Amino acid sequence: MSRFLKLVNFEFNRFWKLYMVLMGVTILSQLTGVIVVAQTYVNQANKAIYKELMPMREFIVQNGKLSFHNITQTLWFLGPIGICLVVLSIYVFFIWYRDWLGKNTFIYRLLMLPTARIHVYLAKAVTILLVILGLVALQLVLLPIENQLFIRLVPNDFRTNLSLFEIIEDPYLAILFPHTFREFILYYLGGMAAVLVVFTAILFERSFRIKGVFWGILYSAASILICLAPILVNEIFLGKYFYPMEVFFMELVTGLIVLSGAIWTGNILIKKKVRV
Amino acid sequence: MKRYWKILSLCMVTVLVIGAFYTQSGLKAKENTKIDFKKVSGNDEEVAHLMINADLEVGNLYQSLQITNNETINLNSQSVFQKLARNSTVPVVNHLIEQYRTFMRGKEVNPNYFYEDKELVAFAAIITKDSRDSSFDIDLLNKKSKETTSFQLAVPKSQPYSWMEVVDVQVNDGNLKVIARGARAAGGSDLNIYTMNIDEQRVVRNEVVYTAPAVKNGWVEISVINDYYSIQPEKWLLFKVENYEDNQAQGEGEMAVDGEPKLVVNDVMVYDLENNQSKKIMAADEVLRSISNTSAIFQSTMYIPSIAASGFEVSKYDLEKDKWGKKLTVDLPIHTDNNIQYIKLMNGKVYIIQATNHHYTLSICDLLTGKSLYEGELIVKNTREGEHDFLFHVNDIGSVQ
Repeated sequence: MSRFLKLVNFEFNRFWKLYMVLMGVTILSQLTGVIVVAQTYVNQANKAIYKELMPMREFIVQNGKLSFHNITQTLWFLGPIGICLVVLSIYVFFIWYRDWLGKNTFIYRLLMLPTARIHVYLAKAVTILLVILGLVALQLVLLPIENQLFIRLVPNDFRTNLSLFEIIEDPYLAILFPHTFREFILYYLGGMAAVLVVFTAILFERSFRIKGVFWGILYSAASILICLAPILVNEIFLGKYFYPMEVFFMELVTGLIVLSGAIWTGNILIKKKVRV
Repeated sequence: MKRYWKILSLCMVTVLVIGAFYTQSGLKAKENTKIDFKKVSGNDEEVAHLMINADLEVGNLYQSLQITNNETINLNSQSVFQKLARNSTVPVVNHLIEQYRTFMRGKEVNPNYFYEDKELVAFAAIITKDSRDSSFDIDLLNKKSKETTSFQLAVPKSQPYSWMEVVDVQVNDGNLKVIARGARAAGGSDLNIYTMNIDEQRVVRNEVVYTAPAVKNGWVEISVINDYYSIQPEKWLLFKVENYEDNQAQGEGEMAVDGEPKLVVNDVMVYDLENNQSKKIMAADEVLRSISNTSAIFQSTMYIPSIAASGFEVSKYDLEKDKWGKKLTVDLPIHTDNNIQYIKLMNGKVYIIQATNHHYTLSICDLLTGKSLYEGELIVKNTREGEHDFLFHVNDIGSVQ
């Protein structure tokens, strides 16, 4: 067990610098966004009210009150979230290929460790999960801080106050922060299943090289097909015979099959087939 | 230990933050917006089975609410599980699904396609493969024997229609009646009634109840004015036909639409489903125009609500005798024209929601006597802190079992 934790720690430390950069960019961009959006609105209000002598009520009727939703829809706010997503998606590949393509073929040492090889696979997966959850937590801490800053910058009469729970009712943010804990587990478990399928596809390529690319794609397509099978069968062949809740439970079962299938196949590949 | 400080602190912070967030959001869910019926006078029984579908607008936030006496469901903040378990937002359909789960499998959840009485539940839809090949998809459930009968029949004379839609299903005397609107490929629309013998499983009668001719520069609307959510037996089918024509004006080189479209045909028709007879309702143009979705038929009398200077009125038309009856003045304080939010005639009662200065009142009166049965206020609880300005848009009033 402690060997496994050491592996996770090792993988995590390799990502640490880039992780700090991602967090820094997020904090900086979002705080700047709050200031820019709030100041633009306040300046506009000042200009209209003091220079053009428009009554305050009239200004609010024309422009609406400012709420935190006006900020969450800007590039300042969504941009860094998008960057984190893209970087992490690339890192899902990079976390494997860096071991082969680095200065010294590090994978050689990793696979020679006196521990089950599947630990290497799982340690990488756990690292990805930790990193994602860390970013989610960062956003949850940042939101109340940004909201306080927003409240200080915009006068009371010009803003609609939103609680943290109202802020995350935004359709994009609702994906990151589902309403209930059960949904949270469900969403992130689904995400991890996808990551594991990609991991196993990468191992196919690392095992059989060019031929492996083909196997990897075939394996991923099969996984997606199995995963969506209940929905497809119900819609196309059965004319929506099953009720939504029943389809959901079938989805849960096929999802778990795909997830365990990915780990099982990954285990065989990394144990017996992988080439260095 | 020192080597692990980065990962350990990240794990701790993550667990704390996400844990705190979800324990708090669990508490928050209990404080959702709630709307209560506060009785001023009348009988509480009147609102026991009432459901109001409404949108609440507070500041710039919208919530779609389903309000009953016991609870207020916010459709926007339901979890995935609640949404999946809901099946449909239409109470009559949900009721059917709860009671006849097997029979309801794979059926489109449009209340127009269903019929229910003491003995059976019927479902009829039209499946169009291509314009020359339309068929009825019929399913019947005998409530006592639990037996289901399913059959498919070709729609007779369906060739001229490019598109068909079932608007109501009725059963009487062992005959299933499917009322369908058809849009002709060449323009114009028809309202058809297909009568099928259930035992013989064949179409015994096919009647075109109304033919609306094509309008050159305009359009035609045949709308059935019955309760969209009702699947109960009905004797009468009330429908309205409106033909609009655009005013054409000579623009620069081409014809352009000028001003409001003109109403060329405005017929209100009623069809007796027991005796298979249709008749046109004769009345002044304004009266015909006032017949709309808020009008309703109850015990062979058509009721048409309107707001007059003297207050809230209901015109009555006896469909058996073809006579206009005495107008009913509803005993109700009406302040101005524009504060009436929503009117619904249902089960021999009239339901009115009024708005005055962010105050919403619900009145229920008897349609036959005009007497008030219930007067109450809609009290909005747990809106957002410091926000007193809210708007309430009622979309529908219905009844739940």
